[in-house]
Amino acid sequence: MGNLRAFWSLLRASLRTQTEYRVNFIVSIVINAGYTAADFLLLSFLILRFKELGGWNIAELALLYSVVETGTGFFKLFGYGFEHFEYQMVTGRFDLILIRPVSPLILLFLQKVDFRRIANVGQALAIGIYGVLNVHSCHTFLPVWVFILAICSFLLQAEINWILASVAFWTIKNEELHVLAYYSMRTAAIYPLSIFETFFRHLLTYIIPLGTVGYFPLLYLFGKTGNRWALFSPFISILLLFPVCLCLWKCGIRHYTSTGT
Amino acid sequence: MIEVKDLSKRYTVYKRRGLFREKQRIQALDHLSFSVERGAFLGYIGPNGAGKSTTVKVLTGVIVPEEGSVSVDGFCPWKNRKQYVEHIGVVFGQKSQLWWDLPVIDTYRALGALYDVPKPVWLKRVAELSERLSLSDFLYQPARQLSLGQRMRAEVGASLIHDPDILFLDEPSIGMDVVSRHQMAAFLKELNGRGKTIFLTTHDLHEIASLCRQILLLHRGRLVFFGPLEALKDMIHLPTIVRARVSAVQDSRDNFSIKTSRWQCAQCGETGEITVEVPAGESTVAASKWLMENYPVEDLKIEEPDIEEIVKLLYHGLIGNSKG
Repeated sequence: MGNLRAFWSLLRASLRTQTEYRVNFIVSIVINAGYTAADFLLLSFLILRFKELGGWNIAELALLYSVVETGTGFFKLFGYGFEHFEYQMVTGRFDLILIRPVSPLILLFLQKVDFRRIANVGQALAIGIYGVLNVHSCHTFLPVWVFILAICSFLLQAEINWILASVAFWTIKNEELHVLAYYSMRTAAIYPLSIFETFFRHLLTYIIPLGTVGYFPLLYLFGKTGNRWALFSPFISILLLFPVCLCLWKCGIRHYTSTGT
Repeated sequence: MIEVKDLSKRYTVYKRRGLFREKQRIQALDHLSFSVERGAFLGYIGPNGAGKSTTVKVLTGVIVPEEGSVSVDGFCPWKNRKQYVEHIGVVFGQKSQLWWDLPVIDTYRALGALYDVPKPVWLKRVAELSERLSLSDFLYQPARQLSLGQRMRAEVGASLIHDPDILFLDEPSIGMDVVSRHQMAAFLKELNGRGKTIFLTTHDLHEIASLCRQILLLHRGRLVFFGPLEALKDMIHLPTIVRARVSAVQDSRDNFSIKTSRWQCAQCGETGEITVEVPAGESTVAASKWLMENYPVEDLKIEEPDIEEIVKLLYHGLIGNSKG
């Protein structure tokens, strides 16, 4: 593990890199807040029109959205290096990460701390607070569980992106795969899985298990199911995926061939 | 101290033929073996595509080879990577390790933190690097605003922040003007004098001739030559040229050869300059004497075989042989 001093230094450097271009920084925060809001607008439009989705009311949907999107926001805050990992492969700049006495994972996580994403996190939290205040649930520790689920959401999304990044060691470019396997799935995960047909539901439960951080545990917490496994499913998926991530990553590094020069 | 045994690495390359892709396996390194003592200053040369970059990447722990073993100061670069890289400094000619949007000093600060260099030591080191590489003019400028030569000086500085024992430099003097190049060469010589091992990959053969005590020549992943520069010169037997400027000028377009039993000799029709090729190993005194006795010589110049000529011949031979 790298030391604290390195962490702060890289974090500061990352912030300075973005604020170096001041106007661009401010504008991009505003724009980012803009399309985060637009993202949510679709969901809110559907809710207002139909009053409920798949048997879930507004407050419940808000909590589902919040759990998934808080994790997303935090991941995007630190995960730029993973999201855009193909850049390291295409340019061969991954070499520069390998010559440092620190785990490549840490260097990738601090590659660019995307401060614009604070808008995403803020919005998701705000919606979550609305959800917690308005939802009817018999669980007194609901806010605690929501907090835990948000963390699980962050961890699971980090793992999924980690796996997709490792694939780039072999395919070099993985942007299309990323869109297919992550972006579209995450957009789907903010809706209750019951509105999707079987194949898609299974996909989001067993293959790209984003359904296990929001839909299933909340299903239990809202009393819509008595199955305890639903509540513990996020921990299972995170634990099961971890060895896959690590293995693929280590294999990838061994296989890494850099570029010509 | 650097021990390479039987190193082999193959790449799979896809060549496009119309709509189809042809899979080709290229042997980048072919059972390469050599060993280098601590404190060596090694020049690494070879025709383009010889496998030099691949070797450096294996030695810096970036690539894992298929076969063979490498031991640098007891470390295996890819097995104990994190501990190993604390002792090495790298400059990749084409890939900048400077944070592009930030002043150079910020990169140095981040590297200091990354390698856990204590603050007072860091301050002293940056001051020394700034002086020896003339960085003070642009130390506080963002890297993207630097000229290529300035950037390369900053890169060399960056590779030395943590005072590594071994330096791997890949084309470090690209873009540098004559003064900067000499300044950096002097600095590298001094670092080598302090006991640092330097592994220099470059196409600038004069740089190699002036700095490196040993030369490693690679072609198609195989070792072609490893030894001192003098031994390389002996291998090729290029002659020493004695040039004489004579006062009586013939003023004709033709160059004509002069008959002598001992040497290859020719006279330029336009300038009247006479060139005598003295075979390698022989003294130039006899040829000079002969010229002065037989011609109205105004000036004599003695030219040792240029390292570029030697290497050019070598490369031609290597590339010609592989094609044939």
